[in-house]
Amino acid sequence: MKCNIKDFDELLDQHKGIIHKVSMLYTSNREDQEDLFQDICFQICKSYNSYRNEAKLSTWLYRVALNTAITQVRKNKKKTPAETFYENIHYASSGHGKDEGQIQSMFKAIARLNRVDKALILLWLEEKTYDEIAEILGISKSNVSVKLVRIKKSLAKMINGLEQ
Amino acid sequence: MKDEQLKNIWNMMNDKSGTLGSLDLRTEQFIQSSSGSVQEKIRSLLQNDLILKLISAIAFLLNVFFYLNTLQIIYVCIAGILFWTIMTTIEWKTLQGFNKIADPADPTRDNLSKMLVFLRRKANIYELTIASSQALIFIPGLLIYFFLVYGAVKPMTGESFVVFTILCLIGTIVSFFRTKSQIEFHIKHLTICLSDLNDNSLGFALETIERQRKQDHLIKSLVGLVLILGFLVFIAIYKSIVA
Repeated sequence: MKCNIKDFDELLDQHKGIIHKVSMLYTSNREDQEDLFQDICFQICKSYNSYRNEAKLSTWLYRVALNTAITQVRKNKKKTPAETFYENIHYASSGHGKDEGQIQSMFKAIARLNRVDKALILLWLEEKTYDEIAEILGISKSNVSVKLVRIKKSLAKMINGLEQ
Repeated sequence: MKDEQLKNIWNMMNDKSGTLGSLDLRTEQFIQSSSGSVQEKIRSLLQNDLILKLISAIAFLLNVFFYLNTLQIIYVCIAGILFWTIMTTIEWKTLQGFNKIADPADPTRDNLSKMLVFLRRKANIYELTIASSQALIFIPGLLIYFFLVYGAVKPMTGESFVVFTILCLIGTIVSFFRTKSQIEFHIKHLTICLSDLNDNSLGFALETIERQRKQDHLIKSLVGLVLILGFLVFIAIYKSIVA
C-alpha cells in the first residue's frame, strides 16, 4: 500500500500536534519521543489508504496514534517505566514561568496513569466528545463516562498532592 | 479541582509546534535514509573486498598445489598468505567494529556521529586493506596464468621484476586513492547531515575525533619508539656476536 507524499505532508502539517501530544505522553525521554513520533507517522502513512471518511480525520488519527503508542509501550514495558516521565516536563512546559509548576504536576500525575487511562484523559482534555472517545478507544460511551469520573478524581487528587 | 481547571492547565502546554522544538520530520527522515545508505555502502564495500580476498586466498592455495616442486614460488605463496592473513584479519575486525557502531536501533544522530568518528579514525586502515587486495589478486592470478599457459614460471630477470612490481604498485595506489575519495565523500556527507540536525552532535563528534586522534598519535609514537629501541638492541646483540 503506497502513501501519497503530498497528501501525507499536508496531513502531517495540519495534525502534527496530535502526534506530538500522544508521543510525549507515552514516552520517558526525548529520543524515545522522537522514535515514537516517527513510528506513528509511519503507521499513519502506511494505513492512510484505509481511511474511508467514515470517521472524522482527527478521530482516525487519534486512533492510529494511540494504538501505535500503546503497542510500543507494551513492547517496551520493561525498558520504560511509566514513572520516569520527568524529562518531557522540562521542555513541554518551558516558557510558561509561574504556571510551570501546575503543568509539571499535571504531567507527573498523568504519567502515573495506566496506558488506557492516559489515552482517555488525553482525549477528554483535547475536548473530544464521549462518543468520539468511545469510537477511538473501542469502548462503550457509558464505560467512557464511568472511567473518566474515576480518572479525573484521581488526577485532581494527585495534582493537589504534588502541589502541596 | 474542577474539570475546567484541569483543561486550563492542559491548554497552557505548548501548542502544536512547540513540543518537539525545531525537529523537522522530513529533514529527519531524509537524514535517516542518508545515514542508512552510507552504512550500507561502507558495509558492502568491505564485504565485497572480503569476497575478493577469499578468491585471492583460493588462488594462493592453488598456486601451492600447482608449483609444489618450485621452492621459490612456494615461498612467495607463503609470504602472500601471511600478508593475506594480516590484511584480512584487520579488515574483518574493521567490518565487525563498523557493524557494532552502525546499529539501526540507535537514534539517527548517534549513528551519524559514531560513523563519522569511526571513518575519520579508521579511514587509513580501511583504504590500505582494500588497496592491498589488488596485489593479493595480481600476484597469484599471474602465477596461475603462467602455470596454465607455460606450465611453469621462468626465472625472473631484474627488468621483469621491476615491471611486475610497478604494475602491482600502480593497481594498489589507484585502488588506495579511489577508496580514499569514496571515504572522503562519505565523511563530507555525514558531516553535512550532522550539521543539518541543528544540535551539538557535530561538535561532539569532532571533539571525540580530535581526542581519539591524539590518543592514536601517542600509541603510534610509543610503538615507533619501542621498534627503534628493539632495532638498536638487535644491532648491539648482533655486533657483539660477530665480534
